[in-house]
Formats: sequence, structure tokens, C-alpha cells
Amino acid sequence: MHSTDVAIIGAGPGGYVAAIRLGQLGKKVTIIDRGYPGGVCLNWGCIPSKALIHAADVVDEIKNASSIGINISGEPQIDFAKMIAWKDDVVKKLAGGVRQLLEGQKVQWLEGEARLSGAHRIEVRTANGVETVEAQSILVATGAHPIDIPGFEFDGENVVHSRGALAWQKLPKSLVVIGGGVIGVEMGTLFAKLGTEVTIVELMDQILPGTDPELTKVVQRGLKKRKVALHLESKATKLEKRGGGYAVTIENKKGKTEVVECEKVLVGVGFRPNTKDLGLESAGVKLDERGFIPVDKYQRTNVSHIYAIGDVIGPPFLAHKASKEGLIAAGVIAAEAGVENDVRAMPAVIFSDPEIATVGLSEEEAKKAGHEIRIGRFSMQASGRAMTMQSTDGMVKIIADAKSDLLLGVGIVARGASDLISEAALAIEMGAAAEDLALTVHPHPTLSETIMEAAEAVADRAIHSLSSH
Amino acid sequence: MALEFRLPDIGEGVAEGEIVKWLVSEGDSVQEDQPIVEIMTDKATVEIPSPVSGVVKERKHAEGAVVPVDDVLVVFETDDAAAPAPKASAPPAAPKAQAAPKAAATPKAAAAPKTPPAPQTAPAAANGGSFEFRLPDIGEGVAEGEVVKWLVSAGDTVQEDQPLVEIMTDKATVEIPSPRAGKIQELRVEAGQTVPVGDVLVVLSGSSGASQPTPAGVVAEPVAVGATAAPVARSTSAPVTAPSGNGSSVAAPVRRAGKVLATPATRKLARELGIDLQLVPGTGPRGRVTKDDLDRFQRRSPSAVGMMAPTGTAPARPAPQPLAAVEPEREERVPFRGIRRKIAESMTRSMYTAVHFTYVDEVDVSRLVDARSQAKSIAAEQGVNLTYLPYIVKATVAALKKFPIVNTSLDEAAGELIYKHYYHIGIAADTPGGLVVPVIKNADQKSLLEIASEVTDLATRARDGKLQVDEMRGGTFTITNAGNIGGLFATPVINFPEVAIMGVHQIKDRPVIRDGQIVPGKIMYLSISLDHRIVDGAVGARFMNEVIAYLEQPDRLLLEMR
Repeated sequence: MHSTDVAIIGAGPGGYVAAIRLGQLGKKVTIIDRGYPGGVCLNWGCIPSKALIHAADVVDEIKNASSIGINISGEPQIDFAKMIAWKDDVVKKLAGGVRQLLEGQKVQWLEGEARLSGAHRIEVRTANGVETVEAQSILVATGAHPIDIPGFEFDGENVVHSRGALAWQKLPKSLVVIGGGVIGVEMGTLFAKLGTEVTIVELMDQILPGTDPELTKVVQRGLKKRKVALHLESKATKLEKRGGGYAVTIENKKGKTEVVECEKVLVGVGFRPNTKDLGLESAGVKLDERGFIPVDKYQRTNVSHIYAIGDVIGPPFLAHKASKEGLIAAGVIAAEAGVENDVRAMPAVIFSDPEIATVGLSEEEAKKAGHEIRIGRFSMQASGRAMTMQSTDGMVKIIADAKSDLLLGVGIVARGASDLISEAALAIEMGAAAEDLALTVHPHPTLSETIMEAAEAVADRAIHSLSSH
Repeated sequence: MALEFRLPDIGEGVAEGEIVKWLVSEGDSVQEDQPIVEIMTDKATVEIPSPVSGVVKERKHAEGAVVPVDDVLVVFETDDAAAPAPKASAPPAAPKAQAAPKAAATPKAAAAPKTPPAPQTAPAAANGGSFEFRLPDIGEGVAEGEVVKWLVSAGDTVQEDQPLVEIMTDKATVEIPSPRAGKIQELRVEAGQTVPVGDVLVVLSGSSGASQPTPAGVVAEPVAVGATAAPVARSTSAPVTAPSGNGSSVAAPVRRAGKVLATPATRKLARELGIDLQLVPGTGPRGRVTKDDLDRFQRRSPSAVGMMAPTGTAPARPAPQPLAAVEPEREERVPFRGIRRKIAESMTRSMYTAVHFTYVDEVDVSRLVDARSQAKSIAAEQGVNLTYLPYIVKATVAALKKFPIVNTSLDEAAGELIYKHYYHIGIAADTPGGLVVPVIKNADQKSLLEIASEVTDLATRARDGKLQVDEMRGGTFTITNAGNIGGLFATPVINFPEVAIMGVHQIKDRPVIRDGQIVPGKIMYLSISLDHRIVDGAVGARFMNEVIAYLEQPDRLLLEMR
């Protein structure tokens, strides 16, 4: 039994960031985790998938090299096991770094399964038996887990979510991806680039549902160019073993079915919060009807000394959102002045090809919220830098309030969109107008110029665009 | 044509306001939204913007006048052609947009996204006479609201502005009025459900001739339901400046609705200072609130600072960390409100701003005791109870004249020290409700007897809670009679933004040495706390010596009389 100021359950990007900040603020912190510092993001999500996406992009560039005068004899040979080992090494280094940072703040690491057994008490099942932690404040950062669908239950090997796919030692020849959301598109694209035959099945009429179709259609086009078979408005209805692999029955909205044979199946259809078996009821913490933990702007649950952050409080499921909420919770717990969650711009990034990054309101959301809007668009085809990188697919789309010119949202689909979006996030958070972006000098030749041009286009004044006045 | 502009409803429970300063003169041309007058209420000082563009024909009240809500403030002469019909013909009670005082102070701020054209202009409006009414944007950072209670049912006929539903957000509970007259076709959400802004709340069927969207934005009217939505840490705070919700669209919120433009750092600073950003006029581009605006606001409306009214976070220094119950069954939670909270706020502000140092000395008041006992009976004949306090007030005023630095206030933001050539002496009074400080104005021009009777009158009314706000304002120096209960001496807290406070203590028989002999003397301790930013120790000590000299030789006071 040991007592602490703050107990954090879950060492993902929310929990470990909160732990470090609380340590900086002089709190005694215990962080309880099953043994994976960095959580899903670092171990089976953001980081490992980006490592493999990078590897796949290298393969892609090599294959295209001859178009710019670099001749390579033969096809690039992929040592998939080595690629996976390299990825594991990246993960290991980063996880070690997280452990070091936690130690640097004297955060106590407690490995095991946590379960609340009272308002201030947590029982932790560790390798050496059950340990009890008494904490003044508790921060729940347990995240969420992927759901499967009936008939397509995960087996960790052949029917998997991203975690399983990222551990494959052999590159599959063919893959059916069920769910054309972020995970499905990122993983599908990555394997397609490595040479796997990929089929994506999506229930809605577009991939990446919820994202502006004007942006997703660029990605959709890219997938088709790569010969990824897209089944929109379709569902996977049956999974049968066949030969060494599987046969997946796909039914479109007219009821027509098609059977696709594949070696592996990846199911990415959504997440459910990790709130079961946590003993939250023993502390009186309320959940919503979907099992997420509702919190206020101080990240507090209905029990005032119990806080929650990250995926466990609900979508969007973003590591940086969890981290931000972790910092807020830490500030509140340590009674720092002026801390509350007043984030106005939460960026989101999809590592598709090209990448999609958005912040603020989409066109549809802005209209729905009652704004009269003006839109500025700028195509990557008009960007000199994009042309030099052979990456002219995509565009920047800026949504501004028609009356005030204030920035409401920015969407980018382009190579490097993930790094370009932060400028827009800052602009919205600072309360900037489209004109502010247009008036700011952007260095040439860079992709960031496209943001300035799109901002000019809000006022129909883009320089490198024929459609403007 | 002439337009009478009346004092709008400027917040919950505010029935009147004092005219602090006219910002325009008769004959001035003003623009719509240009601030015309500063009004101080017991909640805050606000600038009232002009509802129209025109010429100021007549100011109906002088500075210092206390004007009830709905009384005519000013008469404008407007150009008929220019005067927009709805405004000029609006009931004078409070024409909508212009009623929001600070909110609309800068025209650009008014144009910011807070006027939600959303629900009313939705294309669905024109659709076959049925109208989807969506949850409007009801304030900064509010993305959704919980339906607490429907006030209408399907099939009901409703009037424009009739409250339809109570929505609870994390800021307040508000009644949402109907944007138009019609019949309720369908309630789209049930009580208890949470609705995002922009989602359809209710479908109204078109009524006769009401196919046009209503011109003005739906005004979400915070209803005084108390802090139901707020968790414990914020229970100190009902939505204080919430306008009264009589269901009529006439009442407009004092605060600007929607998001206030400000950088993240400014927003955080506002929370630290306990300032509700929505009350602060922004001078930056498009009405952006800058750090300078916060400074200015804090300087001009100190009473509004720390009130953080509507969102209800208490002054942010002790951040919103809730205090867990230790033994809940043997503890009781009472709302921290009213005078007590006000005292807490001013004390905090004083301690965090002024650099206190306290100096104590003793005074041999033997001769003062004699002088006063002689004068007492004369005073009694005139029905006046003469205590020592009037002597101390006079001695203090005389010393203040010699040390004008002690009678100042620091305007930090402007970088100026304000020397006050008047002597308004606050007298701290212990009342059942808590500490209040009535002020004896122009104490230098009053006789001992006048001061004595004024002190008696103020003290009595203070105890009965009958003091006017005006009588507790404008002090330049405060005296606290800390000693009538006991103790040796206290270290009083400065009544900010004054720079000094003097503590007067019990007169006791103590041995004194006079001409080498130990004799009984009448001894009183005097303490003074000064703001070391402004008054140095040596100056404070000399000031006290001066006060002591007058009290030890009361005859000297006569020389100061006029």
C-alpha cells in the first residue's frame, strides 16, 4: 500500500504527459500501466505506422525514380522482417525516452492492471500480487480499444487491427481492409505501396467519412491510381477460410455480392472506451451511454477529484488532444491559475497519400453553425515547390467568415499537410483573419506558400491562380 | 427625428446605475456603438454605446446622478432617412443590439461571428412553411447544451420570443425563445439529451405571414436559475450579470455573445485576473481583446474585476481546485456570496497588489482624554455623541496635508500617481454582514461635531445595511477602529487602491515616565499599514509622528481648524 498525490491510470500520450507536468509542478505521481509507456500511439499506432509509411514512401520513390532520370535495375527488394525490426527499434527508443522523462520527474512507475476500489483507492494487479494505491486525485487515461464485427473477430494474426498488422513478419500478398476510415486508409495505402493487393470496403459513399469530401476525393483518386480496389457503400458480410487465406463476401447497397480472396484481413471500424472493469462505479464516476467518461472544462468527471483525458472521454481520438487534456488536468490538479480547456483549434491529421490535415470547422460544419462563409482554394499544381517534389496532387482550402473574414477552418490535402497545418491552428487559436495569413510573408519556394495563396483567394486575389480577379 | 434612449437592463438584479462620466456632450455627433456614458452599478462599471448614429440633443442626467433602469438617459436627434426603422421604432425599453453596453463598444466587435445568422436564415425556413429551429450559438466556447425542460409541447401555438426550452450549458441555464410565431410541429430532442450547437431543436410550422426570417439574432437569455450546472468549485457564482429573462426579446445580454477574439495567452491572463473577457471592449483589429485592453478594463472597472460573473469562476488565484469534504456529514456548504465574497475579493486584490508594511507606535493621549471629556458634555447638549474618532480623523487629515504622498493612488497602467486634493476618510465598520467602509467626504471641511454626528449616522446605517453605494465610495485613506474589542495592535490590510490604512487601538492606563517619574498615563497604540511601492518607511514614520503630535497635543488641532 502506498499513498500518492496523484495516481494516473494509463501511460499513453495523455497520461505520461500529465505525469511529467505534475512532476514539474511538485506533485508526487504514480503512473499505472500494463507496461507500454507511450500507449497505443507509441506502441501500435501513430509512431510504428508512420515508420512503415515512411519505408513504403521510400519504396515508392525508388519505383518512380526513373521518371527524373535515376535508373535502378530491377525492383527494390523488400526485407519486411528487417523493416519491422527497424520500426520496433524506433518504438523501443522512444518508449525508453518516455520512461527516462518520467524518472526525471520522479514519477513512480507501477506496472499492472488498475481497478478503482473506492473514491481514492486503486487496486493494482501486478506480477508480484495486488498493490493498493491511495491517491488524493486520480486521472483516468485508459484510452480506447478497436472493435471488431461479428464474423470478423480479431485473432491477432490473420484478422487484425493495426496492432496485429504492424507485427506481421511477412508481407501479405493480399489484404482486405474493412473500414475506410483513418486506420483503414493509412494501413491500406502503406501495404499497397509495399506491393500488397489491397481491397478497402467502406459503408459510406466516401472514404474517411466525416472529412470534407473535397479533400478525400484527392486521396480516393490516389488509391485508385495505386490499383487499390475501393468498395464504397458496401459492407463485408461473410468471412470464410479458403486455401491458405480467406474469402470475404462484400455486398454493395444494391445487394449485389462479390467475393474477394485474400491472405489477411484488417478491421478498422471504430473504437470503444476502456472503461469496463476499471471499478469506476465504486468511485461513483458516471459514464455516458456509450461508455465514455464525460468531463467538464477542467477535465473533471462528476467526481471532483477524479479527472479523465484522451480517448476515454470520447472522440476525436487524437494523441495530441489527449496530451493537451493531460496538461490541463495537471494544471488544475496542481491548482495553477487560469487553467481550463478552451482550445479553439484542434488539428487532425491523416497520413494518407497525399496527407490530409484539417483544423477548425469544415465547410459543412461552418454552414451548419450558421456562418456565411467565403472559401479560398489553392491547388498544389500551381505550387513551384510541389512540382519540384513531384507532389502536385492536392489543395489548400480556407474557410473564412464572410463578414468578419475571421478564419473558421483550414483543410489541406497535400504532401506535407501534416506539417503545414500547425500554421493554421496557430492562426485560428490567435483569432486571425484570412487576411492575416495573406499578409504574412511565406518563404519561397515552400509548400507553405499555398496557405498564403489560398488566404488571398478568400478575397479572390491569389497571385498564382488564373481563376482569381 | 428625436429618439429617447433609456438606460437598458444591464444585468441581473441591477435596478439602477450611477453616471460616472459622460463621454459625449450635447451637440456632439455620435456614431452607432460609440460609447456615450460610463455607468457604474454595484456589479461593474460599463460603457453604454449609442444605439444610433446622430446628434446628442440632450443629456438627461448629470454626472453622479443615479438613474433607474428604463429612465431616459439621453435624447438623440437622428436623421430620419438614416435611422433604421426597427431601431427607431423599437420599444424604448432597450433596443436590442444597442442595449449591450460594453459588448458593442467597438463596431467591429459587433460584427464578429457572434450574431448568429444561423437558425433564422437557414434555407429550411422557406421550406413549405415549416421551419427547423436549431440551437443557436449561446456563448463563448459553448458547443452544446443539455435540454433541461421543454416549455412547450407538440401542437402548441407559440408567439415569437415565447420561451421554448430551457437549455443548460456549462456556463448557465438559458431559455431559448422562439424565433417566430407558429405551431410546434415536432420536438426533435428530449429532455435530458445533449444537443450540439446547430442541431435542430424543434420544427415549427409556418404561421400566417411569418415566412420571413426574423431579423434579429435570437438572443439567448440566461435565466437566473443559479449555478445549477456549475460544480462545487464554481458554486460561488451564479450567472451574475445575466439579464432578466422575462421571455421578451427586448432584454439583451450585457456580455457579448459568441467567442471573444483574443490570443490564448490573453484568455489565460483574463482567467487569472478573474475578468470575464466578454465584458471587455476590444480595441484590436476586428474587436480583438488585447492584454492592454485587459489592463485598461481592470483599471477602469475594478469592481468588475474578479467577479468573472457569468462564467462564474471565482478570482482565479486559488485556481478551481475543489476542496474535498473531509467529513461531509459534519460539514455544511453555504454559498460564498454577497458582502463576504466582495470582501474576499478586495482583500485578495489588496494583498496581491500593494506591498504592505506596518508600523506601530504608542500615543500618550492623556490630554486628548481631558479635552474630549470637556467637549463631550457640550456635544451632548447638541445631541451629538463625541467619541475620539473625530479627533483622530482631524489629526489624520492634518497629517495627510503635510504628507500628500499618503493621500494618493497609483494608476499602474498609466504609470501615474494620483495626488488627491481632497480628504475622504473611510471608517471601517464592523457590521453583522461583514466589514463595510463608509466614507466621510471632505473631512477637512467639517468640524469635530459634524464629523461626530456623521460617524454616528453612518455607523448606524451600516449596521442596518442601509448605506448607499455612494457613501462607501471614493475614500482616500481609511481608519479602522481595531482596538475597541481588545488586543495590543493589529496589522490592517490596505483598502486598495488607497495607499494607507491606520489602525486605532484601545486607550489603556499604562505607566509612562514623565519628568523622571513613573506615572499613570492614557496610552493608545496606533498602527499604520502602507503600500511600500509608494510610501517609504521613513516617510510613513514621519507621517505617524505628525498624527501622534496632534493627538498628544490636541490644542494644535485648533490651529488646523478652519
